[in-house]
Amino acid sequence: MVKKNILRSLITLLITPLLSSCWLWNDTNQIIFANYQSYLSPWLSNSLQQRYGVKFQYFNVAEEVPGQYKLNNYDLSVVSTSVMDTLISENLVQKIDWSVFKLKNPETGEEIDNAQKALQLYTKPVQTILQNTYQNDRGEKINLLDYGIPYFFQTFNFGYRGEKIPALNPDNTNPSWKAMLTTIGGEPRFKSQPNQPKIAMVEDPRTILSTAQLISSNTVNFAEKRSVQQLTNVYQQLVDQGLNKSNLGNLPIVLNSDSNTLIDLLTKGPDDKGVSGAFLYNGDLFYAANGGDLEIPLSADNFHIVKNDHMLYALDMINFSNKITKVFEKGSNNQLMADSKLAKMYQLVKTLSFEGLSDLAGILSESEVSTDLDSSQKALIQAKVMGNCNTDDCYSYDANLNDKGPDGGVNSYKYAPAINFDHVNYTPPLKKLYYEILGVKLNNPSSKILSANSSSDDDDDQEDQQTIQQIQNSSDPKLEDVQKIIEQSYFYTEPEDVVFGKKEGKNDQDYSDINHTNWSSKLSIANFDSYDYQNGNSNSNMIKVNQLTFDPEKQEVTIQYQTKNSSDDFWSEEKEVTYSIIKTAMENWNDLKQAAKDKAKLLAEIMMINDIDNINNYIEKKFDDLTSSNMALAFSNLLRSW
Amino acid sequence: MLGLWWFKFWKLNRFIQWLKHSYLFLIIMAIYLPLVIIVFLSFTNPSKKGNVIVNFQNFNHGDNYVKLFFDPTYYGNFQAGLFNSLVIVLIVVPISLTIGILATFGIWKAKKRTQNLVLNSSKITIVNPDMITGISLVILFVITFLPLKISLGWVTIILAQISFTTPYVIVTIYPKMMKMNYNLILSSYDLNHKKMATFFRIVLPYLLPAILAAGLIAFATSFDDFIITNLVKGRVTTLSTELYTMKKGIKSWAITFGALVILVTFGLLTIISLFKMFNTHKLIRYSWTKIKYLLSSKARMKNRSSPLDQIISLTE
Repeated sequence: MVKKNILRSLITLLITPLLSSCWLWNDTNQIIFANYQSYLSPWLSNSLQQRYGVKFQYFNVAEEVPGQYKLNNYDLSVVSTSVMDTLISENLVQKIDWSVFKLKNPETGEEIDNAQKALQLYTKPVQTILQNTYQNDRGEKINLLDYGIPYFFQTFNFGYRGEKIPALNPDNTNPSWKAMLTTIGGEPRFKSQPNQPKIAMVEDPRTILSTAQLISSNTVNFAEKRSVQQLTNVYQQLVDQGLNKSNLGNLPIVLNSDSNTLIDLLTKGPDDKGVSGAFLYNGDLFYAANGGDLEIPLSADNFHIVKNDHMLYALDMINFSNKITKVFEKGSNNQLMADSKLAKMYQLVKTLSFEGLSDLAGILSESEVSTDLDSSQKALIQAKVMGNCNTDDCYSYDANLNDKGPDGGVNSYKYAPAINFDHVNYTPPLKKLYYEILGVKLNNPSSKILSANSSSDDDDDQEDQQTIQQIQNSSDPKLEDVQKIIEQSYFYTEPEDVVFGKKEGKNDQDYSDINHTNWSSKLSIANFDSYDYQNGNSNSNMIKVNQLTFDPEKQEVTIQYQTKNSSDDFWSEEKEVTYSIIKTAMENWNDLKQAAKDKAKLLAEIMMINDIDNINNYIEKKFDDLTSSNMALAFSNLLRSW
Repeated sequence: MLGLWWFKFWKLNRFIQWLKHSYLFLIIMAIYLPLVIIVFLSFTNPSKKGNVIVNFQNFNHGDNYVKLFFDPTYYGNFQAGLFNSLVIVLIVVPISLTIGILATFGIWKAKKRTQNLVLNSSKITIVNPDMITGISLVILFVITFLPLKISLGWVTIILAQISFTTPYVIVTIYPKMMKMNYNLILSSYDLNHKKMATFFRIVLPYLLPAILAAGLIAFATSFDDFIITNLVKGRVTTLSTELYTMKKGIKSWAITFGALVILVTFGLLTIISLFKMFNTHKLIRYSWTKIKYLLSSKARMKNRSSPLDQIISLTE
């Protein structure tokens, strides 16, 4: 009997602490940030984790978020505007108090303390969408900034490989969806090979439905509930317009919900078991144009994007769950307690979305009240704000968001929004960052005047300055203007190769009797020139040509060479380049540079989103339950016809 | 004509012969080739976005294994997920084993009708689709826990996992229990052991192999489970929920972790089979006994048993 009691108490002793410790672990004080997978820079997620103790969770579809908010499983999330609509109408999100961010408008210096003023922080199309898309129960328009902070902006486009198709990229106009699909249906390169589809599409029923809707209507939404048959008819338009078996062969389209798989297929291209074209969001097309996971170098004459007159737009927004209680400082009724969960969440979002936009007074006051910093750290921050520091390190109110970081290591950027953009590659909604990516700085009025006054003798420079001012003054920059100053944009990277070519002023005939035995005397000494443009000098000591082969028919020479930096004593790995022998090194360099410029123009085209009339019609709204279940059935009908 | 036919048959026959000899290897290859590929992929550089690239290029010198433990930008949520999974397993397995052993003992001693009732009802949980079990559990938790201001999380994961691992424990231990001779217990009573002592000294040692097997099964089901855990996880993530949310490409850390598990399992199996080989192969066994003799005589000289000696006695 005694032993029985001992056993009982032992078991109780074992289980009670275990379960109660679990209880303690069930810590709702930890911030849970729900996001799509791969939608945040890993470096940034780690740094935010360390600074704010935030934990990231990934969902498969954003439609999960309302349910998880109800169960208090997430604290903040990134969702598309259609889910925002649901969250607002079901009263699951908190109103954003913009005065907590202590931001200033980078262009005017005006303090931003409400959602209306915050609109100025964003690009024009984003502003239009934020103000005009949704209404509340009373029929009044909602400013979405009252409930969320824009994260990234996207469009749904078609990208294709191979030569440019004039009908898809006409010079002055953008084709309609209908015209584009008809052209795709008639183009032989998109016809499937046996068992190999040549068109890819992201498998998302709602996105495909919205784009199908664009064929016949000028909105992506429906006014009322739709039956399965009605929705099937909408989907059917894709098939009728050209994406069908009779046009594209037996397996017309490959569908996959993992956009990365499709990016791989698109970068591989039709010749390597890939696809010729893909319907993807513009950030994914951007990543594909940059080579994707497989890092296949693609040039601008082999990759194109179709910009339609009407497209599907999507805006993702950060929002706070309504379950988080507001804790105010004692004696005040609107100042959040510094170490409360909500205050930390505001800090987190401020870092993620607005770092570099903050005003100096804000940084100072934040550091003074912060409990995480010791006195020496506080003093350091004060020094940085006051300017008594190394200039690289100083905090400044008119900082450029795309300033390079001091370490120059893993992150070439200093501020979180630029670091995140550099990884995610979707269009940033923040106006300042968007303009800086295009190569134009949007600073406070005084520095604007400074840059305008700095006169230059060079005509090119003056022309550039004019273009820059034009973009600065326009609310919606045009692609043509950006292309004029493309070298200053984020998209342009200077070629890193050493360039070879004919020596300046030498005669073409000098090469006529060249062969594999006499190349060294003919080319490398007498007539051949190399130029290390990466290091910006013509120091031939730093370039060692190991092998040089000449193709007399093509008049091309292939060179295997190594380079050496003056700072260290090691030769680099061997590189191989092929250049035309008829051109001088400078001409070859210009060709290379032109290719880099063209590539940058393509990337700018993918990234830029311009405002159009009624852009809010092309943003998805929430579906009622019946329509969304009908959509799933209708989508399976579509799959049967593909 | 006949010659040609004969030649064809002979050729065919040779093929059949070859198939006879090698089909086992073919099947084993089909099972293990994907795992070998995982190991190979764990030695390739991840892409810019941290995904695994399946083109078998850019091999490195095992950098991924270092990064898996020291580079947070590489492993992401892996370490937290692994830690949570291990904590859950460490809590769930002992509790479900305790419940399972006591239940099996109770069933064994109960009347025939009760035995059938309990055994069949525990089978229902195993046969029932996980999705249904998960939904029923989440409804139960939402109704009972949320009003008490307890949100879903550790407690619900642990309770849910105990509820679905315990039937596996019962089903694994019960056959062994059935074979137990009741006279063993009676003789223990005759030798003046009390009930508790009989349970701990007679029943438990008798059941030990089955308990170990049940523990392994409980470990695997708890560690692997996604469907039920995902429904009741609340704010907690486990390794399996992390693995299943990879929608934008497979993260490189998942492959590296998978390869690590494969390599560790392979290593353990190799060690076990080496030990077995020591005991079966004549020559090796002879030399092994020779070594053992030498070691034990030395040990005897020192007048105490060495740890190695104890291991040797275990392998006998």
